[in-house]
Amino acid sequence: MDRPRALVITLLACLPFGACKERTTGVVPEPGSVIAGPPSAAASSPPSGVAEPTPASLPEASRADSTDPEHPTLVFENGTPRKVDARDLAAQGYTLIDLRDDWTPYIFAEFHDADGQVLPNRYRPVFIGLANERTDGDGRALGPGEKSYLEVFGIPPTPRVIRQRMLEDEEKACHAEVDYALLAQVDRIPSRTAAEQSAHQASIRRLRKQLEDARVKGRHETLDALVVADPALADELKAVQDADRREQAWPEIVERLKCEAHAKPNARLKLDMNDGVSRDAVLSFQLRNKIYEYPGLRTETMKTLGKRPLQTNWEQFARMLRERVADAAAILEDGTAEVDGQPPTWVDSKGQTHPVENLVERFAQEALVQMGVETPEKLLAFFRAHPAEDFSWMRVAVKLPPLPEYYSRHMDLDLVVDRGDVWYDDSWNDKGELFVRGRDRLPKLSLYVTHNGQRFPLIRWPTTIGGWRAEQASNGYEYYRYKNSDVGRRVMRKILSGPTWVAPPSTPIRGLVKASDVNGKRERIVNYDEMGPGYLSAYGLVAGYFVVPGRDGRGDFDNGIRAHGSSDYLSITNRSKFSHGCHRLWNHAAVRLYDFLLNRRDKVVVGDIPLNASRTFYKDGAIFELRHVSRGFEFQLTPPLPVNVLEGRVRGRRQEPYAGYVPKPDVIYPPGPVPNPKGGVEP
Amino acid sequence: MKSLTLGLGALVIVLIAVGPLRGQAPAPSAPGSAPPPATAATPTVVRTFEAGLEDDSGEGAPTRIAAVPEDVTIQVRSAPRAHVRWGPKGLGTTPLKLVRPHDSGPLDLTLSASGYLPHHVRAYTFKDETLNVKLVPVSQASTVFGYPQSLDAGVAEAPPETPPETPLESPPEPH
Repeated sequence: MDRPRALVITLLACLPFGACKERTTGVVPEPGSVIAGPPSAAASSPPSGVAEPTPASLPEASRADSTDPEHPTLVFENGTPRKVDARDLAAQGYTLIDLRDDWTPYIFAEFHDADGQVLPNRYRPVFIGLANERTDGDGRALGPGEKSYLEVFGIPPTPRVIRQRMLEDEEKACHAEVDYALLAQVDRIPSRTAAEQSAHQASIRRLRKQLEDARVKGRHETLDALVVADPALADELKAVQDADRREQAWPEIVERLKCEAHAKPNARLKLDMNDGVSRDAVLSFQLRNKIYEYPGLRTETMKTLGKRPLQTNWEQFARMLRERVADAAAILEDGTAEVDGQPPTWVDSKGQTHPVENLVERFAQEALVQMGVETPEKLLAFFRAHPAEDFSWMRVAVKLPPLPEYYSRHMDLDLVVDRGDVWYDDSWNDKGELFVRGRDRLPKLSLYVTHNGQRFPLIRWPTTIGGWRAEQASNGYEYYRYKNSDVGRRVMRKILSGPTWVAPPSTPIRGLVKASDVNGKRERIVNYDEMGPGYLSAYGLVAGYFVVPGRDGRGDFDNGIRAHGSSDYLSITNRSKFSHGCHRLWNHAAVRLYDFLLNRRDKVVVGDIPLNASRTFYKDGAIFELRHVSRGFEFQLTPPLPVNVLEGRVRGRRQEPYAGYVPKPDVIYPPGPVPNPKGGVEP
Repeated sequence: MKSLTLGLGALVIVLIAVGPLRGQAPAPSAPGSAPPPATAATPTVVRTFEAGLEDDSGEGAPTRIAAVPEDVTIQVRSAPRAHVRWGPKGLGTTPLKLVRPHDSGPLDLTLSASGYLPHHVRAYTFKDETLNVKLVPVSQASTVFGYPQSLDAGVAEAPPETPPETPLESPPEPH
């Protein structure tokens, strides 16, 4: 197989910014692009707390399409747009925010080799199709009415899609039927089966009668007056009032879910989240609104149900804009580096102390204000003024605050993973069910910058470490194995966007096959969702590869540990969830992190890495052939990013991870020794 | 825009209304019959369409559903010869050449031949490609990775496994 690994050597350090011409078709850099971090703020600015905004401090400039007069850029003055020629904007200190349909984050941008040929990224068209609600995760056309609610998977909808949702919602009469004020008063509604709900209602009836009897006996006008006289009854009264509100809220919730087409009009929704239709309706609402909760009427879900669609659609637009602004400005700080509410601080070259700001929020807010869409009503007016077709060309130019002094084209960055509390002890019961030992300290991933001798964190995000997992041995049976997250210093040399996870033979086969629609028929196929490329894959949208650098002429040691996006987004903050050793990130966070690294570190754009690997396995009377044709689109960091994985706090009796397989208590195995994970059998 | 939509709609109706696709391979043989021998026969060319959108013009030349910038060709070969199915639609007998629009999503194909285990394989439309499939006789199912060993069989010797057609290059990758 030919291997068009067009290496685009990045030597931006040697290249004056002015040499970066802009392309007519514009998605990203130019032919031969010589793509390494965007120009430096610090390099061109006087030493002070902040860098002066200069043309060279605009990281997006090289990605902008400024030469096509048919596709001008909008500059807003007091919320009024004015079409201008983008060529002059960079010199005036503007940053271009791309609102076009074919926008992608930098990791999926269109790159060109030295001859000006496009370096194809297999996932780029899929990402664009998903963001525009045109195609599914395999690139096949969506059916009529099919929706893509994929923000939790790192794919925000395009402005065109949000516009359509907002205008449609404003037209729907059913929204006027919903009592949002009532919904806003309910904090959560527990999932209950029909029997549990009946029992609950009976207990509330008894409680109500007790209170009523007490009110009559005490000759109080109202139940509130009763509680004033007898505060001990306050909890009982609150329980009754809460139950009443929940009872009243449920029909409103059903109305809203149906109005937004999360359930069919004739669907019978239940409070019981074990009911598939009801669970799917709530999950659909959660996904549309990027709510990180298990399917159910939980706190954040109820809070969002209590907001009008005009508000939730505006919030969706604000989230989308946040991602595009962060990408355009190549910034990362989101306020998560704070400890106990206090941000880390740094001292500039004039001796002035600054906190590490939440730049993402500040910049996004600034863009909203300058565009004149800082309220839901203003955004609605904006969308009414701009037909959908405008988003085929629309970019807006905004003046963002200057970047902090520590920003530069090639920043001194390093990554730290703190594994938190670690238990190596056996963690399953007699039935073979895994259980969780207490973890007070959960794993964190932090990115540090070193500037003028000071090292401080820019972000500190939740992540995962490995733990006890089921693995399939070579005899076809599953065992437990401790999937350790390696400790110590290593480097991140490469980043793959749209990565493929090559499932090792130890992956349980039950997870490798799924039922799927194949040309209109339900069939069993290989579960490529898990392998990628795709937002559902084990590596999510993007992965950074941890390796121990080789010495004395030997190659790197790669133990398969990555920091990657994950579709299992609820596992990332769950005390009882573990990875197989990798460090999972929320997909949108992974996209931001790698966007930032690729913009703020020198790099080589390698391109698609073809792979010609296949593997067959048996499952229930059929052979399944698993084919990998690409590893993903590769970037190499030059030099690699230093990584340090801290051991964390090892708790329990066992101080080292167990290396072999451990039989599951609930499985009957064939006679003979236990297989060895590396082949053969255990000694 | 409206006229374009109407035009596409009319084309779809025409495509649905007309007869079977000429040049398509013969229907699968009856269950139990011997599979056709593997030969170096000229591949049958089939332009594949989504269910319900088949080109049944009867004129032989594939008809485009809509203008596409580029097509890819997928060649399917197997030993022994096998019938190829894409969901409910039979595509013919190997060797087979499929033509699909570039980047139109993958095809999950099933190859079947009497006396052999059904073989599920995916074809991609990212670029031209050739699938070479070796079917496994039913009698040899136990030699394939993932076939559960009998509980009384013992594991004295290394478990059988069908080696990958192309070895994987990298170490196992956790996630």
